[in-house]
Amino acid sequence: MATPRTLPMGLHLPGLLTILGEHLYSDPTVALREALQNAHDSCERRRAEERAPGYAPRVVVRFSRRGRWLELEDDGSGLTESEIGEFLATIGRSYTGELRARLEVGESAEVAAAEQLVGQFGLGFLSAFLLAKRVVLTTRSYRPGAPTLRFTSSGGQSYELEPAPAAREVGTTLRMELKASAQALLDVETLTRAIRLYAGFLATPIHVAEENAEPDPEAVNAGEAPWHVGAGAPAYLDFVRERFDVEPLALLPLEDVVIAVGDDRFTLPLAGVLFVPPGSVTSLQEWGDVAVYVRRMFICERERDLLPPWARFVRGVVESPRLRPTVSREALRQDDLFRQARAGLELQLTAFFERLAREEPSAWREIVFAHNDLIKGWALQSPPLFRAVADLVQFDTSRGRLTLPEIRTAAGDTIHYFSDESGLNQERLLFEAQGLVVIDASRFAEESFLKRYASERADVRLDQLRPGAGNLFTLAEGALPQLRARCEQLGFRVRTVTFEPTDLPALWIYPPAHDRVKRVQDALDHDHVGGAIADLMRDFLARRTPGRGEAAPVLHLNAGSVLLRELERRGSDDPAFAPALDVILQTARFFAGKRMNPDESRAAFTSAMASLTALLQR
Amino acid sequence: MTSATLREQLERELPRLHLLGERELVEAFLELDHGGDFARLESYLEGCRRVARQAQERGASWLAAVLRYFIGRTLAFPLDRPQEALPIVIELLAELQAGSQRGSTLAALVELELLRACHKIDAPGYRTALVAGGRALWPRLREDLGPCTELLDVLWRTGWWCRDVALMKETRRLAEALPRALRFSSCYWHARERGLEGAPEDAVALLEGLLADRSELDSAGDSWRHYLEVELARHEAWCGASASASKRLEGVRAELGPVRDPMLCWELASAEAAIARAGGDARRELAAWSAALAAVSGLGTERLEAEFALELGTLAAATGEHDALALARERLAERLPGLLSKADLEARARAVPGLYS
Repeated sequence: MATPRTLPMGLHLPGLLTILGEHLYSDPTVALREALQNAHDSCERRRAEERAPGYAPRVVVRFSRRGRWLELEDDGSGLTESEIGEFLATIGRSYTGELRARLEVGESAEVAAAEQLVGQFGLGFLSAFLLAKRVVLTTRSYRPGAPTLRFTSSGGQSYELEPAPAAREVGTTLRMELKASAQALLDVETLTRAIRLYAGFLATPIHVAEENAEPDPEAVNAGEAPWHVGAGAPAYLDFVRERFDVEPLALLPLEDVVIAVGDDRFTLPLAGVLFVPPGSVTSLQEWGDVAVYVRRMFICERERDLLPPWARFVRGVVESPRLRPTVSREALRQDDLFRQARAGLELQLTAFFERLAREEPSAWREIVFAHNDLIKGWALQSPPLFRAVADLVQFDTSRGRLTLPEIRTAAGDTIHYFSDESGLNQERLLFEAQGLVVIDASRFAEESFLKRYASERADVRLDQLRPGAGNLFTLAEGALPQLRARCEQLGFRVRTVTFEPTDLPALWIYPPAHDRVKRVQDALDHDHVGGAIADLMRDFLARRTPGRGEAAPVLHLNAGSVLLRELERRGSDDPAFAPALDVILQTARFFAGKRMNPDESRAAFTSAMASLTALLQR
Repeated sequence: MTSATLREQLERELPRLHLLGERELVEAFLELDHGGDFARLESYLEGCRRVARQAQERGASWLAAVLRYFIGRTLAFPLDRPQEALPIVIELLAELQAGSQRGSTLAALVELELLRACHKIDAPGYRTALVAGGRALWPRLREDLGPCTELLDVLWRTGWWCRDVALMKETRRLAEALPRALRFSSCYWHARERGLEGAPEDAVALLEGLLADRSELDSAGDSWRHYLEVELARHEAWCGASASASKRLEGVRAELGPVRDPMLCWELASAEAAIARAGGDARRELAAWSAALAAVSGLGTERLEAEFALELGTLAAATGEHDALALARERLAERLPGLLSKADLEARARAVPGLYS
């Protein structure tokens, strides 16, 4: 067999240019971010390399609706002819990236300058073709004697480079002749909004102006967030109000994270702010996301994995020069630094909430109340959070919304709850009549939360109330014999008992999951399902239910009821006996709130009406 | 949701509801999201329940039924809690079949969830119904690639759990008739089939091939790669390559952090047990079966739980590990008597002194 040959891989440049220029980014306005960042980096480069005293960096974004172009003009370092060839027109090579690498190993001022540089991959310029059909770049380098050059490209494999017809000041002007689809950008408000989003924190002032107009002297970007200038809490509060349009319940300015790797420790620079919004709705309006900036440049609005999973009632902004964006810089790489930042954020959040609970209990209580349902669910995943909220979260009870300590104060250390979500009207009435404080734990996290609470406290006992529970009724054997006999003649299973309230004469108590069993049984009885599926359903019924007879409801006649006692006294021969009993039984049936098919509903209603008519005709 | 048909139906229903003035309901439905994150599935379920109640109250009964399907599916599929899913899908199916949705796409999808739940509870016990139900459902789903792929997975896994190579082969023939489906999993199941046939070296080659194809892996996501790595480790162990298998599992664990996907969790533990057994490391194998048992605890995957308890108990009895034996005894006493397919396990359990009576 011949020795294998080593051959070069081919590169289809037009295809690659299309991918990088048109498919790398999900949102065309990202091209504006890339152009702004290039202009900013150019200014920082001039500051770092020329070191001219009094240098005032500036970027002006101009546009023409008539001419359909968008222009970014900066007074940065400009480019020489060789730099255009080596960097601007070379895909994947970034002057800024190389400059940063040089500065990062220099003196402290140079390291600080490196932190201001944003560019990284040498691809951003290509994104201009997301917006533009043609790009014209006019530039003059700060280097002495450098000429003014004009670079023109339509996104293909070649470009034109020539001396510009007129000399210009040091700096660069990038003009993008826009595609029809990008012309919505040609609007002061739209541009201002996009610049504030993408470049709000860049130190270089950015101004917006229409063609031939003087730019507004006030820059549209604030230039600094509170953490860039070491501001105090009020500035953070104003920032959150303006950025998120909410009144936060609590604020946590972020700090650097110290990370231990074996015996070594290093600091991960981390800045920004986390806050607790005023409310949430489980699953429908959960937070737990942060806007992310890297070296002051916006990356994404809702990064969901940087906060711990339980912190769904928290939002914020996180900035770190060490977090690494993906190539399109619209998301973060989930690498070791990402995981370390996440661990650092979790530590800071946990310490913050523990301190709040200890030192500002009313503020902590307000947070827990505002996010009650969400916190109950997510606290199950975080033991420290669970401990911090266990005595503060509220539950719906038969006496309104109460915390667990309030329930224990009112009713002792046995906590009663029910968790069946269907047809509980009559059971609630019974529980309340017994004077119990009963928690409605029919929602998802309640029962698990209660079980955890009880498992961590030796003095707390849980009592799950079930329909027909023995403690609701006192057996009254031998009471109401005529009524009982009549009901048994009708084919009902009957118990004579006493229960509160005594103005309730009778109840139908259904076995658990009665409605479900009935629905499935109806489907099988009427051959709505067949074959293997019917076999699986029958197996389910056989395993989950004790048999048709025992699955029937039990009629509970209240021996304490004045109405029933009066009927019993009159006796079964009294003409009112049968119709009055029928009205009571049908009313109890409707009150139970259980499933009836249309035939059963009609029969119950007709029977009750006929009985009422009979009573009226007496 | 993988059903293109159901998605199309929703795309018609939601604007209709919007035009009828149900903007809030439509928005609440569209907001439901778990982002593929296991940790968020519980609150996603609560959101589905809330919006289902809202839909029912507003008379949008079809949307309410779709949401109940999502609830049953989430429990049966990613959360691996089939016993909890079972009453929900059975009741929903009964209701759909009794009304205007009889034989509809939604009813077919709910049937699929019923089969999925049952195969996770006790695949050998329900084998006959699962195979018959799968065959009956196949023609109704075959134009809808997502659910079709899921049905094939249910049948394949039934074969795997029943150690039934014939069923796995039959499923492969069904899959081959539908080449657009199963770009990835067909090869995975073929590898398992070869493993059951006593040819783990073939399985290793197939799984290595899958893992080498980065383009497909990247489109399928990390979770799928982890399943492949775990399966490869199991088969490497069966081939005697325990060192490579151990290293592979370590790699998966390092990437996962705390595992939330229950199925991946028990697959990891059982692969670890296979490696330990191949290396004759009883202590490690005991720990692995304990972890597998812990992974399925409370899920309602009853046959698996009984199998893991039996493995743990057998090994614990042989090595004199009393605590592990007591745990296995307790779990077998809970699970075995009610298990449809208990016969083979009971016979094996009774053969171990002090494990099961």
